Parts: sequence; C-alpha cells; structure tokens
Amino acid sequence: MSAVAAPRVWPYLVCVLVALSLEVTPLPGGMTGWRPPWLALVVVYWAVAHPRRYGLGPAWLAGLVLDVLKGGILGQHALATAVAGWLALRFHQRLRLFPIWQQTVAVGAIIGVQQFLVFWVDGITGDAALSWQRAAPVLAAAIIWPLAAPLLDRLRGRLHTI
Amino acid sequence: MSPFSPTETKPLFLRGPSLGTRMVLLAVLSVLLMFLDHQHGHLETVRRALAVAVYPIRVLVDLPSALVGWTAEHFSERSRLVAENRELRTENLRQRARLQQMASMEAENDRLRALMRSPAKVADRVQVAEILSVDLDPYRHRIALNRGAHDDVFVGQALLDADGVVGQVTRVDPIGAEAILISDPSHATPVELNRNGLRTVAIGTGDVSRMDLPFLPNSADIRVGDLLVSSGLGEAFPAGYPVARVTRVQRRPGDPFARVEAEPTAALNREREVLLVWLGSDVAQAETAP
Repeated sequence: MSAVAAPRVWPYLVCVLVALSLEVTPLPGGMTGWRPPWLALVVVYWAVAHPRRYGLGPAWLAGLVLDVLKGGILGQHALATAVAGWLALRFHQRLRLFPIWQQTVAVGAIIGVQQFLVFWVDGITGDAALSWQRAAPVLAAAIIWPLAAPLLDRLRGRLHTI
Repeated sequence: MSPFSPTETKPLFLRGPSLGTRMVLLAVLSVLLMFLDHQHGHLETVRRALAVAVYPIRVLVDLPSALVGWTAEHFSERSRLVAENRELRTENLRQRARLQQMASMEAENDRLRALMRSPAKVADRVQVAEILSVDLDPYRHRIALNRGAHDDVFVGQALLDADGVVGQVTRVDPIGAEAILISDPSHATPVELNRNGLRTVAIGTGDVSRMDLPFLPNSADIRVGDLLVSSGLGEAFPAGYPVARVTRVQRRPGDPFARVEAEPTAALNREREVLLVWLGSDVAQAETAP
C-alpha cells in the first residue's frame, strides 16, 4: 500500500535527464541527422508504462526544457513532445498488447507525427530545409525502440516501480 | 508476452479535464508561447531562468570531450610537448617581430586619419571563450559558449578565431551564451574585397565550407582567391577581419548577377575556443557605464 502512496519518481526523472543529455551530445560528422528523438521516446515509453502517473504535463515541461537546451523557439518541442505523449496515452492499452514489431511500427508512426510538428514549426518560423534526411530520426527511433523498451522493462522490474 | 505492468485501477469518476481537453489546452499554450517568443521576444526572462537550470546539462554533455582533451594534455609524451613548445616559441617570435611593425603602422594610420579628419580607430578588447561541445540543431549552425552576461558578453557581439570571423552572439544567459555561425543560412555578413574595396554581403549556406555572394553583378571585379574582409557596415563585426576566400566565380550572361562562392577562413567546425571582441566604442561604454 505504501508503494502506491509514495510512488518512486526518480526513475522517470533520470530517464528524462539522460534523454535530454543524449539530445545534445555531439555525434560524429555524418550522423547528426540520425539522432533519435530520445525525449519523445522516453515520454512515449513512460506514457505506455504508467499512463495514470506520467501524463501530459510532465511531457510538455520536459519538451520546454529541451527547447531551451537546443536554443530553438520556445514551445516547439514542448508541443511536439506533448502530442507524442498524448498519442501514446490515447492508445496505451492497444500498444501494450502489440507484439514488439507491431509496437515498433506504432511508435514509429507516433515519432513521425512528432517530427512532422517540429519540421512544421521550423517551416513557419523561417528556416526549414526539406530533405529526405528529415525522415532519418523516425528510422532511428524505430531501430532504437525494440532495443531500449525491453531494457527499460527489465530495469523497471528490477526496481519494482509498478 | 506483455512487457508492461497491468493498468492501474481506473478511478470510478474522472477527476479534472479529460485527456483531449488537456491536450488542446497544452497545444494552445504552446502556440501562444511560440507566437510570443517568435514575434516579440517577450519571453527572455522565462528563457533566462530556464537556461540557468539547463546549463548543468550542457556542461555534463561537454564533460567527456573536455576530459579527453585534459587527458591528452596531461598524458602526452614529453618529446611531443617539447616540440610543440619550440614551435610555439618560434611562432611567438615571428608574431612579435610583426607586431613591432604594427605599432609604427598604427601610429602612421592615426596620423593619416587625423589628416583626413576621420575618427581614429580605438583598439579592440578581446577575451577567450570556450565552445561547449553540444549539438544544438543539425539544421542550424548555432554554438553554446561558456561565457555570459557575467563576463559582459552582449547580444550581437562578434566572435573571431585565429583565422577570421566566426559568428555573432544571439542570446546571453547569466553564465552562458549562444552564438550563430556565419555559415548559418539565416546569417549575412557585410564584407568587402580586400583587393579593391568592393562591398557586398556574404550569406551562409548551411555548409561550413561555403558561403554565397549573391549580389555581385557579372561585371564585378572579383577573382578566385580574393580575400573578403569584414567591412564594418551593419555595426556587427569590427572592420578588417578576414571572413572568406573566393573559391568560385561563374559569370552568367543571361542573369543579372554572377554566381560567386567563398570558403570561410575561420575553422568553423574544428575550433574549441573563440575570441569575443569588444569594439572601441563598446569598451568606452563599458568603462563609463559603472
């Protein structure tokens, strides 16, 4: 009962912090376009794992911090991350029952929407470069998800953060 | 196999607004934020407060490469250090010899300027800032610096490196700053040809090794290899610092303008340190202000 009364928040915070750091870690030259949207992936993961605890508010706030971190326009990643979280919350029951490959496809679609929003805001505010490279983060996310999600499940099981 | 824990017990009655309502509210809030930030820049105080909170993350991300630099410095071979030291000493000697000439030339310049009744150029003040190795956005050429308002950095301040102009400061936080590189597609640098004083504008392309000079007529006197220096117009960059070297001139009889490309002289993507420059008037301002 006490575990329910005082839920552990730090695994979520650590995940978000690591994701924020990975979002700005320098990658080798040609890889910069291939950076997976770590924060959105983390938000989607926790939205599916704990839909009642980590809702839209934390996702939006984390996105706002990412905006400041990246030095972009305030609200861009906040909106995109919140939308990714919303889609994940909306379909969390279905996402849980999917086998991993189907889950990957669904998460890829969510990340696609998220990336499109980022690109859209870039376009409205002036400097958008349309190239096939814009799809690279979605592919990267689809590669990362089947590796990262089971790993996080294992960690979460070890930590008993039900 | 179900990798996720079972859904927590649903409350019987929904408390607070529904998921869709909350999403709409947050979306409206986001759009409002974007509008205020983009159109008016009203949110600088919010951003500054958040930037201080975010600075540790930037430093943390910078840590591995800083550590690599530190170990390379401390565990490199003695013979290499000695060689490097000797090289630096020779270079220092060479530079100082040139500086002696510079003093007399500066005096001569001042005399000539006095004859022409144009205001004398005051010496610039410089300070070294470190670039945090943090990737901000692959589609924009921005960098994060480790000096901020605390060190009198201001928005619009010019950045140089050993070989030329690097960029200018776009945003200042209490302890850090962000800068735009001259290769960013939304950045234009006022330049002039060192050879004949022809003035034009060099625009970034998003490629660190290329800038475009789109406003030169076909008849312009420009050649491959010409050095472009900052013209000092636009009040952003101090005049006379190298910006780029012309790499390609293509005259197109059918079009009003020639196609001219240049390569920045500064090592835009290889530098770890840059120089922040205070122009003469800024130095005077800073000294009289307090």
